[in-house]
Amino acid sequence: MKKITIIMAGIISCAMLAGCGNTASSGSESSASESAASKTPAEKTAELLAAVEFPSMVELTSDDLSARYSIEPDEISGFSAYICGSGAMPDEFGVFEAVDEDNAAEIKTALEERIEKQRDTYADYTPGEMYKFDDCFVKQNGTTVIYAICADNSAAEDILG
Amino acid sequence: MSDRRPKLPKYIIVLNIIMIVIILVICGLAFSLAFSVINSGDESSSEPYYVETEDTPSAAEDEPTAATTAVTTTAATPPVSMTKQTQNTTEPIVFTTQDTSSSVSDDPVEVGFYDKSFFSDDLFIGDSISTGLYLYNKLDQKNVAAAIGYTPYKAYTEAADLYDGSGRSALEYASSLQPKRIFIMLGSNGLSAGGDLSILESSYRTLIEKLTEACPDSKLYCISVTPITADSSAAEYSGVTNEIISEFNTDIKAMCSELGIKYFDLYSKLTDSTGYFSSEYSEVDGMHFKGTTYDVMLSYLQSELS
Repeated sequence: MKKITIIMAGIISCAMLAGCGNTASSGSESSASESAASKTPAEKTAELLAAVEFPSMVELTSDDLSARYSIEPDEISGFSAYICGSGAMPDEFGVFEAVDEDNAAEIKTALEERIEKQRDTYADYTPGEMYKFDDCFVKQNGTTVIYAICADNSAAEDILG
Repeated sequence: MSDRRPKLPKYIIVLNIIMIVIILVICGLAFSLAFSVINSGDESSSEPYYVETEDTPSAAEDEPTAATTAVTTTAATPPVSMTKQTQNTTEPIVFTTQDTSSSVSDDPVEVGFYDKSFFSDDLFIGDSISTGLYLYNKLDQKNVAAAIGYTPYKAYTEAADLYDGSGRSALEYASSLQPKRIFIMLGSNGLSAGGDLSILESSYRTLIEKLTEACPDSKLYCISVTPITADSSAAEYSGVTNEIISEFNTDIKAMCSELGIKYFDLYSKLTDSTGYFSSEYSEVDGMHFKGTTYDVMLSYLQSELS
C-alpha cells in the first residue's frame, strides 16, 4: 500500500507538471491565434496602423470598394481597409470578410488586379516607393481575404492574418 | 499501535512540495503571458489612426538655391498664419489671406468654413493632389476628375479616376457633367528640372480651350501649382523646385489674365515663413496634402467665390 501510494503520487506529480508545462507553452500560441481570429477587421487594421509607419491614411467606404476595387457590397459581410489619402504613396491594406468562399476568391482576384494597377501607376510616379510592392500580398483564408502594400508587409501579414 | 498509518518518506514529501511550487510558477507565467497578449491588443486598438510625420528642417539650413527663390517669390505674399492644424478637428482654423493680387481679398478666412454643397455642381480637374479631395471625403467623387500622374495633356487624352470607373478623360467627363464651375489644378507632374515650360503651358492652354468649347456655360478657374517643402522627397525625384513652380505659376496667371479666367494663388496660402510648403500641411513626401490642407484650399476658394 505504501509503495503504491508513493508511485501514484510520483506519477500524478509528473503528469501535472508535464500537462501544465505543455499548457503554458502552447497556451500562449493558441491564445494569440484565438485572439487574432476573434478580432474584427477594424481591430486588425487599427493594430496595423499603430504598428507600422504610414503616411496619412483614410478609411475606405463601401462606395470606394465598388468604384475602385470592383468589390460589391453584397459580396462582403464586413471589411476594414485604408488607403493613402493624399495619393502620394502606394500604401493601402485591408481585411475583407466575404459572404462565402466563392466571393472571397473573387475579392482576392480583384485585389490582385488592384495591386498590379497600383504597381504600374507608381513605377513611374514614385520609384522610391516601389520597394513596398516587393513583398506585398493578397491572402485568402476561407472567407477572409487580407492584403497590404506598405513599408513592412511581413508585419502586416502577421497582424491582419 | 498496529493501526498506525505508515508515514511517507521525507524525500517524497519534499519532492512533491517542489513540484507544486514549480507548477504554480509555470501557471503564473502562463497567466502573465496571456494578460500581456490581451493588453497589447487593447493598447494598439486605442492608438490614433493617423500616423503623420512632422518636422521639416529649416530652410535656412539648406542649400539656398531653391530657398532663396522661394522666399523671394513669396516675399510679396507672406505665408499663411495658422492657429491649428490637427487632422479630424472640427475646431475652426483661421488664416489671413495676404496675397496682394486684386483677385484675393484681405479679409480673414475661417478654414473649415467651406460647405461641401457649395461645390456640389462643380468639377475639379487635377492630379494626385486632387484625388485627396474625395479620398479625405472633402468632396464627393463625382465632383472630381483626377488621377495620379495626371497632366493638362492627359486631362483631354487619358482616363481619369472617376467615381463610375468609366474610363473617360476629364474633358469627356466635364462634357457630360456640364458643371457650374470647373477648377483646373494641374501642372505638378509636368514640371521638372531642365524641362520646357512652354510645352506644359501649351497643353494647359489647349485644355482650357477644349473645356471652354465642351462646356460653354461652365465658369473656368485655374489654381496655382502648390509649393514643396525644403526636403521634399517627391521633388528630389523630379528635380522640381519652388523656383520652377513659381515661374510656371506666373505664366499660368498671365494666361488666365489674357483669357479672362480667374486665377487662385493657393501657392502663397500654403507656404511657411521660409517660403517653403508648410510642413504642417504637407504629406511626408513634401509635395502632397494632408487632410487639413484641403480645408484650407476649399475654404479659400469658397471665400473668394462667395
